[in-house]
Amino acid sequence: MSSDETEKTPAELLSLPNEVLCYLFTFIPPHDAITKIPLVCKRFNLIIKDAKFWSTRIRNEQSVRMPQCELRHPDYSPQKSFYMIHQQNQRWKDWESQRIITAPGHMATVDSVMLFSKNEKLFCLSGSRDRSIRLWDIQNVGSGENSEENKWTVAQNDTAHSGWIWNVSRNEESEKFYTTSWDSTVKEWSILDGGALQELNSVNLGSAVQCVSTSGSPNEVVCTTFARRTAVIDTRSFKIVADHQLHKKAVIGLAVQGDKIFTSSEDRMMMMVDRRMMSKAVLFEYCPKSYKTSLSLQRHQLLTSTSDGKVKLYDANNFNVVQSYTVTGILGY
Amino acid sequence: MSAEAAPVVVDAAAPEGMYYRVAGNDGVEFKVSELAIQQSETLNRLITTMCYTAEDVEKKDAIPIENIDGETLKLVFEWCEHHKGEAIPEDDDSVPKNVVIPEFDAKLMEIDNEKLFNLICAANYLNIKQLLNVSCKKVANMAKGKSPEELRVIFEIPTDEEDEAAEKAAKEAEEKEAKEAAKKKAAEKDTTDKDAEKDVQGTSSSA
Repeated sequence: MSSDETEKTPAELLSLPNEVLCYLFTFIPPHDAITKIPLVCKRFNLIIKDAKFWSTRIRNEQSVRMPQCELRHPDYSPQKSFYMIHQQNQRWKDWESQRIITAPGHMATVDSVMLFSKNEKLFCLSGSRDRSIRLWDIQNVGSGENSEENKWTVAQNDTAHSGWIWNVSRNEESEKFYTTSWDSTVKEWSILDGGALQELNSVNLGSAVQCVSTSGSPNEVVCTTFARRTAVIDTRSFKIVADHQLHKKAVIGLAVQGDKIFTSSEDRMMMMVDRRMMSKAVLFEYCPKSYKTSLSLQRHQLLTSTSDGKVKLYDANNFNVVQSYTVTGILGY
Repeated sequence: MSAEAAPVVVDAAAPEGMYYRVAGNDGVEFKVSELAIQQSETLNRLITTMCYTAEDVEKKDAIPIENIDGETLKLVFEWCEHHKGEAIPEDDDSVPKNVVIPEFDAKLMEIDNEKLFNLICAANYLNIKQLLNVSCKKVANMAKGKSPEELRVIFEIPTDEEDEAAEKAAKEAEEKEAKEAAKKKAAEKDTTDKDAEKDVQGTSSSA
C-alpha cells in the first residue's frame, strides 16, 4: 500500500508539500524541532536549516522585529534567536511564582553582584558598602539551609577595600576579577583553590572609581571615576596606560567591546572613543532631558537606562535610537 | 453529465435548505450544506464568486475537486457538517500551538497514516483552518518524544541511504528501459529499410 514506491507517490509524511510540513513543524516543541527533526531525513533537514523558516516564525509567532544592526551582524542566526526568545518567554512568563531566597551576610547595601560559572558550577560575587566582597555558591544556596556542609558563602574578604565597593567585573579568560571602590583604587583578585580570595594588584586612580570592564583588549581593564576620568589599565604592569577626560561630570556608565569604549555621564553626554585614539570621541550624543545611568552592550546593540525612566536601545554603530520603552519607577543598575 | 454509474452519496442527515454538490477525482459526489461548505475558505470563495443558485446546483455538474479522492472527501465533509456554523479560528501566536482536539475529531481521525496525511493535504487545499490545526496537532502528538529513528518507523520515511539506493535503482531501471527501447527502434528501422529495398528491387509491388 504505502510502501509501493515504484509508480505511485507513497502517501507518507514525505508526500506532503513543503508549506504543509512547515506548518506541521510549528506544532512541535522548538527543542525537538531543532534537535530531532533534522535527523530524520534530508528533506526535513533542509527545511529546518532554512533561515527563512525561522525568520518568518520570529515575525509571525513571536511578533518580534529585529533591529537592522542585529540582522546585519555576521553571527546572527534566526534559528538560535527563535529558540532564545522562546526560552526567555517561558522563563519570565510567571516570574512572580519563582522562588526567591534571601542570602544574608553583608552588613550594608550591596551595590554590585556578578554571576559567573566555573567548571559547570554557578557562583556569585558580591561587593558591598561594608567594604567586603563575598563569593557565593549558588547551588548550595538553592539546595538548603546555610550550614557547615552546605556553605552559602564559600569565600570572603572583609577588608577588601577601605571604602564602599561600587563594581565588580571578571575576566573570563584569566579568571581574575576586579573591584572598584570609593577609596580610589581598582584591585585585582583571584580565587585560590580552597576558597580564599587573594589580592594580586592595586592601582590608585585619584578619585572614587565607579565602573570597570574587562571586555576590551586582552590584558587591559577599563574603568571610570567620579572625577570625569576614563582610564585604561594594563593588567601586567597594573599601571594606567591611557585615559581621557572628555566628560564634564562623573562617568557613571561604561561598556566596552574590543577597541570601542562607550561611556555615559551625568553631564548628559554619551560617547564612544576608540582605544587607539582616546583624545577624540568617534560617536557622541547629548540628551538635554536626561542622562544614561547604565549601559549594556551586546554585538551591535547598546541598551541604556535613562534617568527619566526609560530604557532605550541604540544601534552601537551610529547611536540611532532603535526602540524606547518607558518604565515606571526609578531605574537602578 | 456523469456518464458512468457515478453513485450519488446522500449525507446521512439529508441537509435542508441550500446545499451544493461536490465531487472528488473518482467521481463520487457529495451533498454539502451551505454552512458546512463555508468551513472551507476555498469552496466558500468559489461559490460566492460563482453566485451559485439552487437551480445551478441541480442543472450543472458537481463542483469537481481534481486532487482529492472520495474517501478523503467523505471525512472532510463529515467534519464540516459537524462543525458547521463555527467561526474560523484566528491565527494563534503561541508556541507550540494550543489546539484542543474535541472528541468527535479524535474519533474521526482514528485512521491509518495514509488517510491522515491525505486528510491534511485536503484540509490544506480546501483551506479549512481548524481541520488543518487538529490533524497537524494529531501528527505532532504522534511525534512527541520520539527519537529520529522512531519517527522514521512511524511515518515510514526511508533513511537517506535507502532513499539514495532506491533512487539509484530507479535511475538504472530507467536507463535500461531507454536502452532497450532504443535498441528496439533501431531493429525496427533495419527491417523497414530492408523491406523498402526489397520493394524497390521487386518487379511488381502489389500482389
